[in-house]
Amino acid sequence: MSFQSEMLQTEQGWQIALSGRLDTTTCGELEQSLLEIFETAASAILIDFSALEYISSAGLRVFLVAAKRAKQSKGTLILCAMPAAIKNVFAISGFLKILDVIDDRELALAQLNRA
Amino acid sequence: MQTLFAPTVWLSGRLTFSRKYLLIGVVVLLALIALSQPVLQHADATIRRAELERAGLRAFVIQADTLMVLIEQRHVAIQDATQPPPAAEQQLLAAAQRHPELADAVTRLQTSWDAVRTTDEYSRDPQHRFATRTATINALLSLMQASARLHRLNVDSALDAACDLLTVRLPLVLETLGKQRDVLTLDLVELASYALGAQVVLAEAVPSLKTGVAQLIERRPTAANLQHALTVLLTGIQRQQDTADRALDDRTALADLSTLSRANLAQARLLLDQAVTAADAYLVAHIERLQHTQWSIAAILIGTVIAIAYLFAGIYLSTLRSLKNLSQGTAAFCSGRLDTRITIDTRDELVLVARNFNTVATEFQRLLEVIREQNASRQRELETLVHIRTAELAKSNAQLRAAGQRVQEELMLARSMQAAILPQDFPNEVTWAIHAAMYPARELGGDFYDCFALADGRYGILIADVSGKGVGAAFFMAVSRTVLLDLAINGGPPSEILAHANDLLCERNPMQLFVTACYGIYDPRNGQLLYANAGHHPPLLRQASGSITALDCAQDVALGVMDGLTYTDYTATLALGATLLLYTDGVTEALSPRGQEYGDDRLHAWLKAAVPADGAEALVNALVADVASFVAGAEASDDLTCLVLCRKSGELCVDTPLPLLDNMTVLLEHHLHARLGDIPPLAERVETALAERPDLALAANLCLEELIVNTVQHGLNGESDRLIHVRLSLSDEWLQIIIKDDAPPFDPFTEAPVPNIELGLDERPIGGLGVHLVKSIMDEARAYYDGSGNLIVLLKTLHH
Repeated sequence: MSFQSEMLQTEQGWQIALSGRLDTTTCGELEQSLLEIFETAASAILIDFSALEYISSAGLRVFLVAAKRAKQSKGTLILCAMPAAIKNVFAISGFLKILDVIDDRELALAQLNRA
Repeated sequence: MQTLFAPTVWLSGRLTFSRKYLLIGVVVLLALIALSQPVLQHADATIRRAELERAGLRAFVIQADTLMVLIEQRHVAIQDATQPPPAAEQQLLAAAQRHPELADAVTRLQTSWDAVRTTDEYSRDPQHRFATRTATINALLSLMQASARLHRLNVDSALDAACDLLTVRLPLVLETLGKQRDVLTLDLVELASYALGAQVVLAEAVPSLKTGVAQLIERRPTAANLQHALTVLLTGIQRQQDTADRALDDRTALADLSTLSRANLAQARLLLDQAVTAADAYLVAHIERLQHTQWSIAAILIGTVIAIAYLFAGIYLSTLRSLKNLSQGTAAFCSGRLDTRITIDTRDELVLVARNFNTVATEFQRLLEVIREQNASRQRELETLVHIRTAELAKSNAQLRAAGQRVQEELMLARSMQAAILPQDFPNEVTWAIHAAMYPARELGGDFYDCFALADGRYGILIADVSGKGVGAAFFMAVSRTVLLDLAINGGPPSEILAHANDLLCERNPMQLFVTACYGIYDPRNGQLLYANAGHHPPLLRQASGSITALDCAQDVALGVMDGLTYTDYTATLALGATLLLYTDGVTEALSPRGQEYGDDRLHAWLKAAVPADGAEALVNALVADVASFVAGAEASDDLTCLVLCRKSGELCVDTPLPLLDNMTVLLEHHLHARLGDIPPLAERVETALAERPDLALAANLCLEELIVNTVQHGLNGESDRLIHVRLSLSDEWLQIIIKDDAPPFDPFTEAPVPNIELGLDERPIGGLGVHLVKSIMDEARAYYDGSGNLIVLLKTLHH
């Protein structure tokens, strides 16, 4: 199952739904997309992890880089609806403390609206 | 002209103004006195002469009285013989005797007087009496004329005619009239001739009388009555003459004659008195006039002196005031009050001086203002210039700083690059380990080291020292390292490598640099070391016992000196627990602050005391620290480089058997090329193999990806044709994952840095998480090197 990302631009910001495997070979495109969005100051992105099956350190790296860029450009990056196994990888890496990760998608959308 | 006035200029130059004016005043006074003196003297002489004339007149009055008496007495004596002789007129004689000039006349008068007395005693003859008394009268007349001469009565031109009238003509007329009467009275025979003679005398006297009276009237207009008296006298004289003529014939006329004669005498006397009075009045008036003239001259003199003195005092005071003004003004100007102006209200030349001073002062003040303005302007210009220059300097400094900083940055970049081309990862195997360090003395070093695995499982170690320091040495170092590494990696014997490298370096060595080097090949399997030395310090070998030996080396020449040289191989063996130290002279020649060298002895002692069990890295750090403490902060004299090879004393790990797993079943055997694109197919197979346990599949795939990516990117340096072998096995309790590659030895679980997962977003470094994830997810993770490659074994419990 290859990696896919569906990107939807709304009034509140970007909503991106990930699915498949996010690994060394597939992470490049997503990283570029996210960084491009954060080129514009104060951009907001909500990423839905519910359909993501796999993530490696290469995928983690994308979100760390994106989060740093978001902070620089006063943007917002919200990660939501992670499956348990994926969330475990984030937890082991210590990323749950430094990234904005919300389990419930509706809550995450509400936060995106506030941003 | 200058010579002419030189004396007076000289004198004037030595006198104050007051003395100058005093001098002029004295000269003028003397001149006035000198001028008035003759006038005054002349007036004085004239006065004295007039006084003398007056005295003469007074004497003349007495003489005239005496004459009148003598004439009357003669007339009596000729008629009466008893008539006594007249007494000598004592007053007249006493007055005459005071003048010696009159001595003759007085003697004559005295003599004739005595003769009269003698005649009166012895002769009764009237004619005789007449003669003696006439002689007396003649003597008196002579005295009168002498007296007149003495008193200069005849000399004064103003009164000469009058004096002639008084002293000569009138007495003569009186005598003639008296004698005429007496002759007629005596009735002598010679009467007719005498009468004629008298007639002549009187006729001659008339003009002189008229002239004298006219002169007196001219001198004294108030004496007009003289003319009347003269007219009466002349008429009387005429009538007496007529009567005398008649008496010659008629004797009765004598009585008339006597009467007429007396009347004429009286009239003559009257005229004489009036004339004397007039002359005296004239003389008094004349004296007064002269005295008045004298007073006038004196008054003019004094007035002139006073006027001159007053004038000079005024000039002096005025000049003094002007000079004082000038002096005060000049002093005030000199003391700094530049607005001082001098006002002088006179009209002399000092006004010009004051005006010139004021002009100079104004001009001076104006010039001073101009100078001040110029100075201020210059000052402003200077300040502006200073500002501009300061700004330019600041700009230049900033540019210099920027340039310096740029150079420094470039140097630091070069230093980083230099450090980067030297290996920073060192093998730390179970049986042996290598560590090395290089500390450049400047930004860039000329030392280098290297360690690299050879294809046959042996390991190359290299240390080298380029002559010189700095950028040139650094470039030569980079070239030398590349040449040596390129040659060495093929695994030839060190002597050939060095000889070949020497030839290559000699070809391109424009700066005539050279490099000492020691290259060795270590065989981890048996501790054998094959080495050759190109002019470098012999390596030091420390046995486990602590004994130190310097390895044998030929006297071979450094690289780059000349081509065509050969080098010699030597062998040595590292026993278990032995340590090999390669170093550059930056270690032994390090200088303490007192100028002492670190030296071989100190190095040997340090190596002897070292503890190899701490590991190669610890030994390198300890040596660097020892040298640093010896140098004690002094500037490094040379690059410091050292390389330590330790052969560990423990058993070989490769011999240790893997933990035995019960009922092990191989789930998957997979070979993939060392390329990232081969990972997804592996993942699919893993998922398939562990379809019943997706959690285990995710964990396995995660670990496989992290470790294989590591090997592909770092261990094999992108050599994509190399194979990696993966095996998944399953026991009752464990999932076992084995990954085998043929990369150089590397233990990710001991050597990879552990990330700090507590850091915040900003501080968190990107990357370095892979090994951490593997170690966290797996229950056991170990790496081995079996001589041909790395073997990684992962274990994860099947229990949740």
